[in-house]
Amino acid sequence: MKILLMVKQVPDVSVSGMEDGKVPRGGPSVLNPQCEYALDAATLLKSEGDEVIAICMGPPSARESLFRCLELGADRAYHLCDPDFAGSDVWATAKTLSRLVLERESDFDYVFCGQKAADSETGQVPTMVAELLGVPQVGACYRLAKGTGSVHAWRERSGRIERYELGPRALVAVERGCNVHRLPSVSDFLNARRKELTVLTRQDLSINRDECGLKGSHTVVRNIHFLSSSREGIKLHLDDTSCAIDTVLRSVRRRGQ
Amino acid sequence: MKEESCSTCPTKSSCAGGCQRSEAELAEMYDLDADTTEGHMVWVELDYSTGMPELKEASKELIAKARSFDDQRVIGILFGPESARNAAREAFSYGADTIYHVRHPSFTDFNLESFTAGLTAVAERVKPNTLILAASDEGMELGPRTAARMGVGITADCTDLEMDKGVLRMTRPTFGGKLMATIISNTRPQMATVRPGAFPVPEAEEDRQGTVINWPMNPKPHIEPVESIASEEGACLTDAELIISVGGGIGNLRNLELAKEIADRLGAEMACSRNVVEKGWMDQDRQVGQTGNVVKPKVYLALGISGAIQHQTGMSGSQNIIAVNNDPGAAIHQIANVSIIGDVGEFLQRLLKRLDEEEAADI
Ligand SMILES: Cc1cc2nc3c(=O)[nH]c(=O)nc-3n(C[C@H](O)[C@H](O)[C@H](O)COP(=O)(O)OP(=O)(O)OC[C@H]3O[C@@H](n4cnc5c(N)ncnc54)[C@H](O)[C@@H]3O)c2cc1C
Ligand SMILES: Nc1ncnc2c1ncn2[C@@H]1O[C@H](COP(=O)(O)O)[C@@H](O)[C@H]1O
Repeated sequence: MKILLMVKQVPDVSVSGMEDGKVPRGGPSVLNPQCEYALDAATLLKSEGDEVIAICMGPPSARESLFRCLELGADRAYHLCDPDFAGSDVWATAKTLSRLVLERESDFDYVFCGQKAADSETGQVPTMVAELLGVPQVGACYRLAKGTGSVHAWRERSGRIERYELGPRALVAVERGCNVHRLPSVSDFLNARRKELTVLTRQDLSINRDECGLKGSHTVVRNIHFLSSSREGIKLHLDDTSCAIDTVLRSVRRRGQ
Repeated sequence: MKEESCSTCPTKSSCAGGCQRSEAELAEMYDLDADTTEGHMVWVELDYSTGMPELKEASKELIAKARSFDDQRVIGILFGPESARNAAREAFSYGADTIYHVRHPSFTDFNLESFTAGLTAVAERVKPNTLILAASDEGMELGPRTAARMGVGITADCTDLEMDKGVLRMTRPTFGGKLMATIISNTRPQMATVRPGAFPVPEAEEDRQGTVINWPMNPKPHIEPVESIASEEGACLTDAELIISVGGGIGNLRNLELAKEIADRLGAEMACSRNVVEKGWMDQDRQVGQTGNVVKPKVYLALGISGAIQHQTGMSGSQNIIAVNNDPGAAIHQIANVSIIGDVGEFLQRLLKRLDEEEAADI
């Protein structure tokens, strides 16, 4: 069984202060938490002879996230690293990632992704990759288990818990809370830097310059600003009158209509 | 577009038995092959929980929003059996001009593959300027899958949309909700998924008319769950209309019990901030925010919650926010519709007393 694991490196938003209104650059980065759950799931399902291949498109520093995957049990890794990939939107990202899969690892059985990236939080890359690879998908998966010749995937959708039995050639996007962190094996941990990590550029995959990165993107960020969702609210003092309680009960009962 | 349509079908009687025209025939009949993009298309999501197909609130919001963009046509597309035709009427009352009804008895259930194929086919025929979907569990899959099939851009989980001379300006939170980004698309249709609750639902205009176009389609094979059971937890929070949410300011377990009693009596769901989860007072599955649930109730009663940005990410889509916090400078007061500056414990006591009085008066 060949599992491809798509991982993203994200700025560590829990430490980088953004108080000055600037998006941190060159600050500490981490492996996207939900991707780490996908990695756990992949290594949990892996038996003798199976292969888990981590794939990341990102700047040179993203190499660290791939090493982390190798330390935690991935067998090989690809790093899509080229200045021409910079500025990719979800479309360009999905296009580039699926190009790699089709060119180099088209005999995959499963593709595992995180459901969302902690920085962009679009949650669209997995779905677009599934479409571009022409495989079905199960998103928002919170539990995975091995079946016979299949993978069992649990998800919640619109108030229902669904279980899928996925035969090979499917994509699973894994959400927070999927399975449990497993302790890495000592040999994986020690051998990580000796495992194969292939760096690929745009030319290695014969992608046109205007098909990737900022140029190949279909959406453009026009501006970024601080959240200012202030509403014109009514201010009441609890001490004043019983007016506060009246107001609350009235809107609660009318459900805000 | 010609006058005739399935709702005023030249062979009206045949519609009752299901319109069997091919896509090509339909295209010719309605002269749909316009070479410029025009109109705003909305995926109309249906709810069958009452037995009758009804529009989901989020779809009403989007239809009305699309109507407000400019004076272009609003085209809805819905999937469902014959009976879903009633929902078309409802869509007209919120502002749709034309409804494409992609019809099959099995389409009461979401079918990603069929819906993607249907949405792509209709969008390629109509060539709308924009195509918007609710960022529901289903819309979050149908949107990007369709965008990838058409090879166009899409912006996910928008909290605001603005139309500027045909260009859709899509605003969404990024970096865990700390920043807002405004994004435009350089492909057509301009696609977006929109967080439910982002826009108000207007009054329905009961007598508004529109055109229904039937689009027969056979379902495509897709993966189906081998097991599907109603989940009890979590779902009730994301779907709840009334939420009482407690934060660090609740202070003690006695106050928490009061809040729970009030929730019980008002039929509210309880939720909390991360602070309360960390104290071990409530379960993580009740947490609202960036690392918890995203809720969009009609009323969100925030008791002793500071309104940290990570918390706001999960609840700013609420229709009505009522905040009780003794610090007039707390961030929650800036996003609240009603702010009550005062002590939570006292507020709870007074509210409970009022409920008791009302009950006594009723007997
Ligand atoms: C990566 C990350 C993710 C996070 N995710 C989430 C998340 O998903 N959800 C979440 O909620 N938080 C999240 N947080 C934490 C968040 O930053 C805040 O710390 C948290 O929301 C604070 O909770 P609080 O407002 O209940 O508590 P506090 O900050 O302690 O605020 C208590 C409030 O109650 C008021 N108060 C005190 N006493 C009284 C009284 N007697 N009467 C009335 N008011 C009173 C105070 O004025 C204050 O405003 C996250 C943080 C990080 C770094
Ligand atoms: N640059 C990338 N390289 C590899 N995988 C990615 C990349 N961007 C997104 N993904 C995958 O898509 C998931 C969701 O990301 P997003 O759609 O950006 O929220 C991530 O958890 C990864 O699995």
